[in-house]
Formats: sequence, C-alpha cells, structure tokens
Amino acid sequence: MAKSKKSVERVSTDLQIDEHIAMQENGWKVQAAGLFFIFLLILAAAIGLFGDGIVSSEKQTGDDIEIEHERFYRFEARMPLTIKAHGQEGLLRVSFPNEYLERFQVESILPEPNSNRFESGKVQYQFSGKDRMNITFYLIPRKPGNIQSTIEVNESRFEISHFIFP
Amino acid sequence: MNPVIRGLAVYLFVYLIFRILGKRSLAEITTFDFVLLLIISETTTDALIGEDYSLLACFVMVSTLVGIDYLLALVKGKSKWFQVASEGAPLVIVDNGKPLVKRMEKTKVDEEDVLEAARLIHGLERMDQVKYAVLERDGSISIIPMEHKK
Repeated sequence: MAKSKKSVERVSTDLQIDEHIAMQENGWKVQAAGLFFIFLLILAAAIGLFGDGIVSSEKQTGDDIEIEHERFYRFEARMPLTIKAHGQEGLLRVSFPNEYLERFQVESILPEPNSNRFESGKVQYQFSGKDRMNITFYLIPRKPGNIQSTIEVNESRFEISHFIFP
Repeated sequence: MNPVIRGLAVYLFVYLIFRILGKRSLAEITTFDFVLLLIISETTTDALIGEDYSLLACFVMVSTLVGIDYLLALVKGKSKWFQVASEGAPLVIVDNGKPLVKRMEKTKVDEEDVLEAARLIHGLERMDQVKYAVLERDGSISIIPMEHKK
C-alpha cells in the first residue's frame, strides 16, 4: 500500500533482500537533480558559457581596428583571437604582454607575421599589408583561471579578459 | 593538468553520469547505445590523455583509474550506506503477478521488460505467472515464477 501519492508501493515478500526503500527514494531525488544539472550543463555549453558561443564571443573596436576574442574558454583547447584592420596601410603591429604569453601558447598565426621581437616586456608581431587585414592568433591556454591583459594594435589598446575553465 | 587529477575528475564524472542515468542505462544496450558508448569512450580518452602520449602517462592514468576503483570497492565493502548510495539496492517490481507501477516508473522499467525477462529466463507467457520480478543492482531483472504455474 502506498504511503502517499509520491512514495512507491510498500510490499512484504518472502524474498531475502533488503530494498533500502528510503535510500532508494532519496537516490531517485538525487537522480532527478542530477539530470537537471546535466541539462543545465548542456544549455550552458550551447550558449557558449564554456567558449564558442554568444555568451563568450566578445568584440571590441577602435580606430578602424576590430578585435574578436573569447571571454570564456577551455584549458588546452585551441582558442582563436582575431584582429581585423580596415583602411590601415603599411605595418600593423600587434603587441602582447609577456604575462599574457606566459598563460597562452601561440600555436599558430594566420597569416604569419613578417617579424616578431621583444620590446619592454612585450612581444610584438609585425604584419604588412593594406586595406583590409584579418589576422588570427590561435592560442592554447596553458593555465586555467582568470586573466586580464592589454593587447596593443598599432596605437590602439584593447583591454581583454578570459576565463579559462579547467 | 596533472594526470592523476585528470583521471580522478574523469572517473568521478563518468561514475556520476551513469549513476544519474540509473540502473537500466547499461543493462540492455541497443546497437545505437553501443555506438554511443564507443563515442563516449573515445571522448573520455582524449580528455584523459590530452597531449601526453608518453608510456609513463599511460601507466599513471591506468594506475589512477584502477586505484580509485579499488578504493571505492573498499569503501563499499566497509560501508553499507555507501554501497547502497553508489550502487542502489535490489527492488521488487512485480509482486504476485501484479506490477508495482510507481516502482517501475521510478526505475524506468516497463511491463515489456519484465515479460521479456520472464520469457528468456523461464519461458513464462503471462504476467500472472510471475511471482516476483526483482530489479537487481546491476540493472538486470530476475524472475521468480509462481510455483503452481511452473
């Protein structure tokens, strides 16, 4: 006979088993909560809370230069950082502070820079071209956690921050 | 990331996922479930190993997985509470030919599953020939037939 609408039937059998009904009922509640969290995780991932989505994607513009980066990303996953320059002519200089590059490994740069050099605590990459220039840095996060930094593109400064999930 | 922490995290996550999905999640797998399982194992392997393909990393990972499994088995042996919490307990789902609907709903078992087990194990034809059906800890269904209808 059921105790209430929600609890399961109570039975008495001659089987030598211990059903631990109270614990099983608690287990089913935990399972329901667990399922809720699984779907929450899927939803969070779908909207980009862990990178690659609308919540994560950030765009900053200044002086005909646009920088696109991910606010959230995942440890050891390949993260793109794109710089778009319009109406620029000659050299385009992109500088990353050393602290930033200690947290990210530059896996590849498309297109490849003409040159790179160290300059007062920064690494500067130089590209040449004119009109529209699209440069993508593929970075691999080397440490989880929060990082805030300033990237300089010619005279423009962009404050960017990432949160890297483990 | 440290391979031990990596292994521990993946083990616990997979353990939790299959605990949340319930006993029946792996008891009867369809062809698609099997393919899904292969995909899960492939994805998990990537997360476990990362970029480290060294022999030592493999030894550490295997030891971590086996070690945590052994530790959990040890705790289960010492604590009945932990054993029931992590593996569940057997549950009667048919009592004297009468399906216990709420129990079956909770455990995602339907009458067809019980009848299938009854046919396979004892060659029974109808539900009223089943005295008890028990959903075991591993997700299988054991059938005790009615004595006079054997």
